[in-house]
Amino acid sequence: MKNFKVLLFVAVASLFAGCNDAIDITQPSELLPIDTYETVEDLKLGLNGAYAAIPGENIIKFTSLFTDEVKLGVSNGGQGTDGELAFVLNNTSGDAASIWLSNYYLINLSNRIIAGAQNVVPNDEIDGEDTDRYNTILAQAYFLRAFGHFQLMSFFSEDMTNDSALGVILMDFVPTTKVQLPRNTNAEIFALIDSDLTFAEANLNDGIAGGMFANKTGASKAAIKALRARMALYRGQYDLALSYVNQIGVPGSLTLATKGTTLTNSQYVAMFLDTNVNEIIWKLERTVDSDATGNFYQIWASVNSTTTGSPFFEVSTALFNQLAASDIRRQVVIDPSAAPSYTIRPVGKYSKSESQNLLGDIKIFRNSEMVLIAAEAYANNNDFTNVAAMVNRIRSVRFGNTSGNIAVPTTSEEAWRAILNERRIEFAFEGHRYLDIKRIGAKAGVNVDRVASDYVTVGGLIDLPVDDYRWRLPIPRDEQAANPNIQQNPGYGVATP
Amino acid sequence: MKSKFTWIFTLLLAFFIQFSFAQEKTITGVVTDGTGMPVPGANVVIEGTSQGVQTDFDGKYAITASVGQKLVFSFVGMAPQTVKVGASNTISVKLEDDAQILKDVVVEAYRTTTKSQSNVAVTTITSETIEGRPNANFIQTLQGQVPGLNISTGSGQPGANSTVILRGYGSVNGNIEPLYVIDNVPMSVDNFRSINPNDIASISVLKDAGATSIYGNRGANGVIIVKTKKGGFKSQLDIKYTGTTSFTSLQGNDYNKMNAKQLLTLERAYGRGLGASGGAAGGAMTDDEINNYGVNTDWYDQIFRTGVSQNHVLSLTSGSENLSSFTSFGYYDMEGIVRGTGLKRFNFRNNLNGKSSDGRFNYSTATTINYSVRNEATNLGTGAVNQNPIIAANQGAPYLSPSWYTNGQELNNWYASGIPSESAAALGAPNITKGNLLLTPLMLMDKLKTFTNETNEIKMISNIQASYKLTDDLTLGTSIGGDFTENMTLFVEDPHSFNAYVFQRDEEDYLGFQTEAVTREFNFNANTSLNYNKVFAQKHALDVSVFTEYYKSHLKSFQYTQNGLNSKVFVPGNGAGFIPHNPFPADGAGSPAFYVPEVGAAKATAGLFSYFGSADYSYDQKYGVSATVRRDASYRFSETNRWGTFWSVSGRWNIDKEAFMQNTAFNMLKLRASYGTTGNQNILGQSSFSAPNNSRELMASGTGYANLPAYFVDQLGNPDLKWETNEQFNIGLDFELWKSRLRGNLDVYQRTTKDLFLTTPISGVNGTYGLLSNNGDMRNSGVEALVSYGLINGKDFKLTLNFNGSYNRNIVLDIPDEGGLQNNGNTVLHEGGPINEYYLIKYAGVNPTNGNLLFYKADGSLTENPDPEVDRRFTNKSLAPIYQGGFGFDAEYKGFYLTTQFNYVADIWRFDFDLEGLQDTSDMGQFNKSTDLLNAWTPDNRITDMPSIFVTNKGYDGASDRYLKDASYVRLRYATLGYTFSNELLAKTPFKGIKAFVQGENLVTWSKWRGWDAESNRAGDQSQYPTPRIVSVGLELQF
Repeated sequence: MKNFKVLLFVAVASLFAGCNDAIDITQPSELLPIDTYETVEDLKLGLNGAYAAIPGENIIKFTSLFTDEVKLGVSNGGQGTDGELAFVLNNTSGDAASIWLSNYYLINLSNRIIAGAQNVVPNDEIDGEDTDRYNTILAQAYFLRAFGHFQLMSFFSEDMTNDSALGVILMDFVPTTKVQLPRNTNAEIFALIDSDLTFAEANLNDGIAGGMFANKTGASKAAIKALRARMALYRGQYDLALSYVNQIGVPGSLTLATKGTTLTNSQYVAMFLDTNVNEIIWKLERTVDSDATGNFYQIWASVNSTTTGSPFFEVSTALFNQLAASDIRRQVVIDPSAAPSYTIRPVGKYSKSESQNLLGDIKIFRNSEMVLIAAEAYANNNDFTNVAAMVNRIRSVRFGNTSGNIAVPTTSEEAWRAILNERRIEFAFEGHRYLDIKRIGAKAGVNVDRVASDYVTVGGLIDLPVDDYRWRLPIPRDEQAANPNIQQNPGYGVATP
Repeated sequence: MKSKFTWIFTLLLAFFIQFSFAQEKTITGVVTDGTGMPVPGANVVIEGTSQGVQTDFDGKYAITASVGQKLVFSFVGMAPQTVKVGASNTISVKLEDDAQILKDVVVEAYRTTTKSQSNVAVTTITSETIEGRPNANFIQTLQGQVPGLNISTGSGQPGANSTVILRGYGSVNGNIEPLYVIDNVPMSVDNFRSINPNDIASISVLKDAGATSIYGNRGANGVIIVKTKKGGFKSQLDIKYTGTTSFTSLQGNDYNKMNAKQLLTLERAYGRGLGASGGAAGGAMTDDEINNYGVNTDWYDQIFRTGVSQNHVLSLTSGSENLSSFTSFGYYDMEGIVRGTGLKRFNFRNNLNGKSSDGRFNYSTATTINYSVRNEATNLGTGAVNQNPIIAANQGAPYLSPSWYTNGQELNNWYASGIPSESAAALGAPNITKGNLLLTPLMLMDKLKTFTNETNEIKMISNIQASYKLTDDLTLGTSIGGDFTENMTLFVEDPHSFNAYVFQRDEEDYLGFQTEAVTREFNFNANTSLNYNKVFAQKHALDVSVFTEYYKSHLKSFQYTQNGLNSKVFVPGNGAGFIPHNPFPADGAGSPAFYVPEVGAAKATAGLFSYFGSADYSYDQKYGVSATVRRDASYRFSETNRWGTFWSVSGRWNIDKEAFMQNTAFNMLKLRASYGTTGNQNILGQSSFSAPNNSRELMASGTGYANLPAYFVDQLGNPDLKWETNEQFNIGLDFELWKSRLRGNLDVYQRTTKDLFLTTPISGVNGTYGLLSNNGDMRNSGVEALVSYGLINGKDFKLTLNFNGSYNRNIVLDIPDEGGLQNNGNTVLHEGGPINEYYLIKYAGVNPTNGNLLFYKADGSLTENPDPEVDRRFTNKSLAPIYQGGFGFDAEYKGFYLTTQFNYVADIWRFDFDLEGLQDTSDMGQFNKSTDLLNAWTPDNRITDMPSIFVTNKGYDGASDRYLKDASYVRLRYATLGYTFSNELLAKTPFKGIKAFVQGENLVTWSKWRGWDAESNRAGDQSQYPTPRIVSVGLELQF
């Protein structure tokens, strides 16, 4: 009977080992939203997450492929050939889905900080700066929410210059998974962006923000103004845009990165190796991660940006033809290993940073953009002399002398074309070209500029008229599937399965 | 004590009789079973009389009989024997297991019963089908043996995991594989590479809800119960050794790779590659130059080999009065056909059974400890030209010579700068320009020579079971088990490898890296039961049980990666030569972060709790009904959705026992039916740990902007998540005719999965487009049959034919997405179609006018530029096979035996991306091509199925069915030819048994599929590890 007692004990013990310890399980380190934001330091960690969510590479890649910045590279294995390069853009396109989602994720994280901050009481007994830090963090969260909405507007709005046109979904709260919201009007979105930026400007302390994110990798009052300037420009409010540029500095004397005498002492080259920030207003830090791969790894090339780095894409012939030999920008847009023959022309703009190949910070605002915003404002007022002055302000620094300067345009179209051409070179591979052609292509009499021989294997497609519906991104099918209230942009068919 | 007394009394009686009838003599002897163990309680009867005795605990008997009389020896489950009494006073017999009777034991979930008394659909495989086969993973041995059980592996990596599907795919995102229970220990994942197949006594596949519902929480996809061998009480020591040597080799394919001359000629025609630029003047090669080109490499020879494998198993069985044991040792060493890959394994098992002398208390333990080391190829199935060795095998240019390879550094120099002309001249190599992926096969040779990817696994499974008969009818039982697995992975990129050099960064002086990762998992389960079993009035049999079950799993892992190794002292797995990171170097210059080690750790917990009961009533062995009900709680769901209730009812009618069935050909005929529900709580895949808390919205802390610590949204919560439920109806017929010469069964079922775990679309403003929710229904319905027929049953020659087959149709019934359709690109979930139905543009062929591809638009017209948005069609084709099964025969002639087993799978469709790669001309000059391109369209060859090598709309075929191929096949999966030495031959030897055999796996395949292996668990195959053909010789010795 002794055996029986042992058995009975085991049986009873197993019965009462408690069912609850097998089913009431929380995994280690579960962090509930309600427990996340308790101190100002928690808000800072939230902000570090929000900054990491700011998209850049997806916009740059889409822009370069869908317009005229790249051609197929020697190691292309089909990348882009049945999509962007062939102007295939529909509600199933990954680019639209990614740009839509990544910006809303940024907005979502910003809204969580804003909501979480309501429960955080700064403790100034620490060092007397907690309230300042709190305000600066909150200001940045508002700024990032505004930036996210603005990026969405740039790509998805029906028409940025028309306040009553459809914009995107306004998100100033943390949504539930059940929301199905229609798009707001442009005016509503712009109003939110305006108020967010006003709040940000009033509460952001540049000194504290700079301590949080060094080397212009975080928001600043200048970045807020630059965003206002770009937004006014995109909305066609040229004089307002110029006034914001002037708040940053007189456009003719804004600091620009110098050409230098060699590649090693060129500030311009250094700017794209992320070792010089003179000209930068705001850029996104990209750093070596645990994968030890660059952020443009597998986008432009699979190994590095040299001619033997297995480039998937190379700089298009049309863009190459625009790059004068003495223009320092040729040395950056195209990897220097392409010289002298330039038969293989790998994309060189994100060649290396922190010793990591194909790594590069994402430049959001640079002074040169402010100069060219001013140029557009002058063009809008038919002030061609100042258009030339602004364009030449850039060119003389990039060429190191006046040899590349343009003559004063004589017609409005010439003026716009000069600006668009300059933007093409200046902002190549920085995610501007698609928006620029859409905005001022008609005024400049320009659409995509492709050399047919670059695109033989993708059907020889070289034209996309500036009035084509594909100059706005489609609302992605993933959104349509979840949200019956969303309105599709004109031109895109009814959702197909 | 009652029964023992009877035997002693009988013995006394026998002596008494001997004294009474002195003219008769006393015969004594021992009755043993097939393994030499004594058989207590066997009947020994004088034929034609009622005189008889029973053997004692040692199998001994004594009986008085006259010369010329016949003794009949019999025992339940064994074939009776008759021996004539001759001059000898000793008659010992060996009763062989009656295979048919043994097979009649049916393992149902928590009990065993006989075939005739079982209400449920179960197929049992016994050790004889599993033993001696050279598969590392016993699951592969089951292939084609069980109707309705689909097993596909798709990898020749020794020990590779298989996908096991019973009665069709029952889930979209959740677990689709059956629950495995080894000696009462439920397994969390189907990791069986460590289990010694030779230890297995039986495998029972439980199919219908009547059988599986009692496993409620994990029984939704069927249950596979594995029982390992045991010793018998009061048996003498039996030692058995089995040794096998196997040779594994590549199965062929029909891709028809080009040789060097063909490829050079094609390259010349295309205008790219060595054929176009390797001529004397840097131009195209001339015919003479091509014909005289000296190198022609078959890269298969460099990547693959014939692997030699060994398997040794030693087992010892013995038993005393109250204790018996089974102990086995195994050593297995299998070389993979890809160089550098393989699996080595050491197994130990000890199973003990014990009982109290009154038989009321019984206990058993089963313990197995296994250690294995495996070396695996990496990046299989990917296009990583510097990592996946199969790319070199299939697509390496034949005009490259493996002898050109010297080391990784020089290869990198070639890649970065082209082959220096003096090296080229010395090697007889052409000038290959820089940055050319043509060098891929040399890169992969380097990889095979330099990399390490080794996993050490320790796996222990142990179980203790005990039961005590409280009364004659009431038994209290418990079973406690643990399953422990530790995996330690070592991954090394050698500092002198090509890959280390090609990704070298500025100022990075020390290259290479080493990663070590340890994962430890422990699962614990405890089951307590109370069973009441009684027969009333000899006709009413009642069997009622109640149970509780507790299950808990713990996972722990950690890992590090060291970047930067000093090759002078570094050895894989050792830490010497790790380069330290210096955050504050003396020169003040920023030290590169290359050498900062990366570390990581994780832990997780999972658990289940259940209570359940079953009741079985049988009337006169003629009619039976059973019911089960189970309440289950899973840790995965929110408190309100945590508990699920699953139940079943089943019944049978033993028609053969009816009066009207007497004197017919049927010796068994049984109709059975069941209906019930089961649950699936494994939302994502098979692991207990995946998606552990999806009911809650969670934030996570991680690395954020500029490598600063940050908070992110980890997941959005779905508090409504709940069990996926299966409802299954099954009706079956078991039959045996002509004294069981024809045996078989037939089952028809319908299985509906409700509340499928699907990604439900949500608005992107949440930062994600999908949320896992319970939505949608899916149905599998089918028919299964198993038939075996003893065609010839002579004294010397026996021939048995067997067949099994199944038909399963999978249909998606309900999908929450708009239009009842979830579009996943080339596949869809679509109401009315099979799971993951291919959704493709229909390929029409080659345009005779220009050699481009032609496709059908949705309206049926032809186009070169289809629109993937509107021209896709439902194909009604999927990866889930409709028909599958196996057939074969067992033949015996005197001592020889021959067994064959054919498998077939039909109506299964997969993409052949390997073929696509060999027919794609866009990477011409870098990779080898198929001779199919010799028939490519040209202005002079307009009617062909191969487009022009200059095809300009190749980009569209990725969304078309051009490379969707019929992967149906019939295969001679297994054949064995052996000889069993007869007892007469062994009489003068120390051996009780000797068996010698040769066998082959995957001997012949008939299929339209052109690749290495039609069988795969993937929708598309590209550069995967091919499954080998295995030929073995083996010897089995018994002492």
